[in-house]
Formats: sequence, C-alpha cells, structure tokens
Amino acid sequence: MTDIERQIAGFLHEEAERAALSTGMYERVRRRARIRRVVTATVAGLAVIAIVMGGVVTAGALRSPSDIGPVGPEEPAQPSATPRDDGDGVQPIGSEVVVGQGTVSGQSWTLIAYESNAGLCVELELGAGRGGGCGFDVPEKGDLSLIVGSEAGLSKSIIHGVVSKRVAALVVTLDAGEDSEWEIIEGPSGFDVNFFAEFLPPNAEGIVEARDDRGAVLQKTRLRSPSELRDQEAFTEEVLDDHKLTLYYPEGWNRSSETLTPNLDQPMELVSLGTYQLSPGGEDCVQIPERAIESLGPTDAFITLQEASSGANFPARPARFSAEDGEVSEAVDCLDNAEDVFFRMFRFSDEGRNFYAYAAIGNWASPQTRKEVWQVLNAVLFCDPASPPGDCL
Amino acid sequence: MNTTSFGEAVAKRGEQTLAGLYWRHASDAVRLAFLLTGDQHAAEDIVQDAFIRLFGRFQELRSPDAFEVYLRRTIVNLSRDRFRRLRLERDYAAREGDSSFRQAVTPQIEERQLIRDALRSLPHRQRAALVLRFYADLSEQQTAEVLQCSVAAVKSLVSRATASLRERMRGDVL
Repeated sequence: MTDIERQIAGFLHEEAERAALSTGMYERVRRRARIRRVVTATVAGLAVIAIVMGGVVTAGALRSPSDIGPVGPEEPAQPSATPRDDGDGVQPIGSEVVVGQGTVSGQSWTLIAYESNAGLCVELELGAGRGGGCGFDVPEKGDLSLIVGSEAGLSKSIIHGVVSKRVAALVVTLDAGEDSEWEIIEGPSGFDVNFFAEFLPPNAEGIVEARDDRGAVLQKTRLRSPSELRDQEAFTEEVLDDHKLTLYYPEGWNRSSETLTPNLDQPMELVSLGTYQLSPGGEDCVQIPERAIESLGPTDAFITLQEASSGANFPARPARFSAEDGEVSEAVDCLDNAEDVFFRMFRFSDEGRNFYAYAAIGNWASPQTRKEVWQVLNAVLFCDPASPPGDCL
Repeated sequence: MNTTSFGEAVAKRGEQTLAGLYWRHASDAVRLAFLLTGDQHAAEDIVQDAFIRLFGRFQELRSPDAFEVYLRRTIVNLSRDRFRRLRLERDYAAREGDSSFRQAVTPQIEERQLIRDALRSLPHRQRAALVLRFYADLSEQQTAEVLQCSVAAVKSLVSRATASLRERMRGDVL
C-alpha cells in the first residue's frame, strides 16, 4: 500500500466512525420484511398481483382440499392486529379481519382482509411470511381478482383473492389436466365480496373460471406460474385488446403510450416498453424505434414488438427467448450507439400471426435487467385475432 | 421430502434469521453506505432497502457466507442509483436555474473537510472502489466481484481515484 493509499484508508476508517446505527432501524427493516410490497395492477377489471414472500419454488405434490382446510363462513370474524403503514403508502382504514384459516404442508395460514385508502386489501400470512395486495376492483369492475405468489420453503404456488357475491363456484382447469373446484369463503359482515385461498403444485398454470349458480361463466382468468415472477416484487399485466395480446412486465419497466415508429406501416408496431423514458421517431431508419434505442442508457433495456401482415418463413415461436437465439439485424447500422448495446431481432409466428421482436440491452445492464428482457418476451401472450374482447388471457 | 420438518425449518428461519443477519451486518453496512453517500440518512435508507431485498431472496444465496458479499454489492448498487438520481436532479435544477441544488461553498478549510469534499467529488465507481479496497479491506478480486467488473478495471478505478484526489488536494494534504 502506498502512502497516499494509507492516508485514504486512515481517513475512511475515521470517517466511518461518524456513521452509526440509529435506534428503531431494525424495527423498520423487520416490518418492511414482513410485507415486502403491496402493489396493484388493474387492467380490464382484473387485478393481478404477484407477491413473492421470499423464496424458491421447488417440486411438490398437490394436497387434498381437506388438508388445506379453510375455515369458512362458520368461523367468526376476528379483529386482529393494529392497522399499520408499512411504508408502501397504503393506510389501513379499518381493522384487520381474519376471513379464513387452515394448514398446508404442516404450516398454518391465515387469510386477512382490511379496508385501506387503496381499497380492499387481502393478505395471506404463512409461517414467517405475509404477502398480499390492495385495490381489488371486485365487484365494481369484475367478479374475480386473484394473487399468485410463493413463499420460501413451501413447495407450492399460493393463490388467494376475492370473488363477487354472485360467484357460486370457482372451477380450475390446470394445463396439466387436473380439474378442481376451489372453496369459496364467505366474506364476513362489512365485506361485499367473498374470498378464497388455495395452494397448487409449484408452477401450476391453467384457467380459473368464476361461475354463477347456473353454471354460467362470469369471468375467467389465466393462472400463471409464479416462477417467472420470482425475482420481482410486482408484475403488471396489460391486456391490449386492439392488438390481441397480453403483456406482462416487471416493476421498473414502462410501456410506451404511443407508437415509437410513427413512419412505419408494415410491419406494424404493437407495443414497446423499456426501463427508461421512451421517445418516438428517429432520423436514419423507419423500421425500428431508433430514437428510443439511441437514448437507452448503459444499464437500461428495451423491447419492441411488431406484427407483419404477411410473409413466409417465420419460424414457430421458440419455447424460450434467449440472447443466443436472436439474429443480428441490419437495423443495427441505424444506431449511433450500436457499440454500447446488445441488439437482437427475433422473427417468429404464434397463433397464426407473424411477429418481429427487437431487444436492446445496455452493455452495463444488470443480470436482473437482462433476465427481465427474456421474461417479458417469454410471458407475452398472443391471441387469435378473432378472439372476443377481454378473452386474451 | 419431509414437508413438516421443512416447514418447521422455514418457520424457525424467519424472524430469527433476519434479526441475526441484521445485527451481524447492519453496523458495517451503514458505515459502508455512509462512506459511499456521505449522508447518514441516505445510508440508513440504503441499508434498509438492501436488507429487505436480500432477505427476500435469502434462500437463493448459495451459502450464508455469501450474504455479506451480496449485501455489499447491493449497497454499492443502491448508492450508485442514488448518486444518479441526485445528479439528474442537479442537472435539472441547473437547467431550471434553481440554485438550491448547487453545492454549498463552505468556508471550512480544514483538512478533513477538504478530503471529504474531494472524496465526494469522485465518480461513484471510483469512490466505491476506494471504499471497498481501503475501508472494507477487500482484495482487488473481491472488489471486482462487488463492482461486477474485472480486476484490471478495479486497478484502473483506484488509480484514477487516487490521482484525482491527489490533484484535487494539490498535494497539500494527501
């Protein structure tokens, strides 16, 4: 170590003594760890919130409904903990009410509801973890709202949420082929909704249908695996009916509200999103959002999806998008910052439609940001152009 | 898999582990964040955020020993984000003619303040490299892992930082 380095080290050690832990800091950490995040994303009457209560989802078997064992309406509602603000801006208005209890895999769980300034909040407490969300728009805008999550050490997907009072049955059809009906927990007095909480095999995916007492489907929603969401505190779902696609993207990303390729007719830009503010236009090329990509920062990422009205030789959509599979597009020559970004194009077909996807990633983007690029592309859901509005789930 | 014992283990891990991790690492973490930001309140905020983020992913850490490495890295990243936000705010304020963001000209000319100011004037990665090498006593390899860069880059960052400090102090102090 040189003299100057020694001097710097000495200064830093003396300077560090000025910093001290303040009392109460641990309590703040503890409270925030209890509920990591309460975020809602409400689209087309459906609030879908992904809560990761802290961990890895591993393989496990589905337990029987009796093993899960919600208490149901016969159990009296109990006032619980003092209302609190966990730093998320959500201010409870009423007391917490236990609406359901049970056990799963040897652990007890409790479903808790309370009113807040952000609307109805529902949280599931399981072991040391607790997570949920606020802002359910049932029954105002729909009949079913659910949350999918996972909890460290529990090898199951956790699904809980609310249904309107006119829902008589929740029928679940898993992609794996299993059908089941979920138990509906009658909401205590003061709540104009009913509740449910279920535990499924990890990464279970399928369709949840809310049916009335005549068996008519009031609303259905796609049940998505939490594994894709594991590293994210919140995931926004947007159903873009005009383009017949559903987009899922993590916190920190924003979707452009306008086309970024205003002079491009074919293919047509469907959606663009990035981790930074996006600007339309460009000077050299019309086929890509040139200005948006050129304003990409070294740690940012960007995705745009375009649809071709015609064309052949579009390969089937890959099972997984990855950096290795993209093509080096000649459009890279349009970019002033070509050396500072990883830029790839993907051509693929899905649901009988042909698409281009462009991904741009800054050279200093974190592994998490890079991962999110592929998560967003893998999660996007394209639908048949003839599918009815609101059905692209 | 024995789900009952697994569940019990998870239950035991909860609060105790958070408390254990916190009390073992929080003090050093706040000092590190303070050296990176120069602000006690910001340091506490950053450390809180770092604990929340890491505790939620604790199961994914390869070993408990890795927690400290992840914590340092998270603190460096969060302080970098803060540094960028402040810079954007200052740039905006400068464009808008708001003088409140301009760095205060302090009449204090004592050595410590000079060094402190000089340190704060360094680009974030240079400052982080100095703090990790000479305060946290990390090796160049370990510093590179935290900063997610090469060892050569660490050497370069430290070299440029010390040169900048020497220049800034004009040899008067350092």
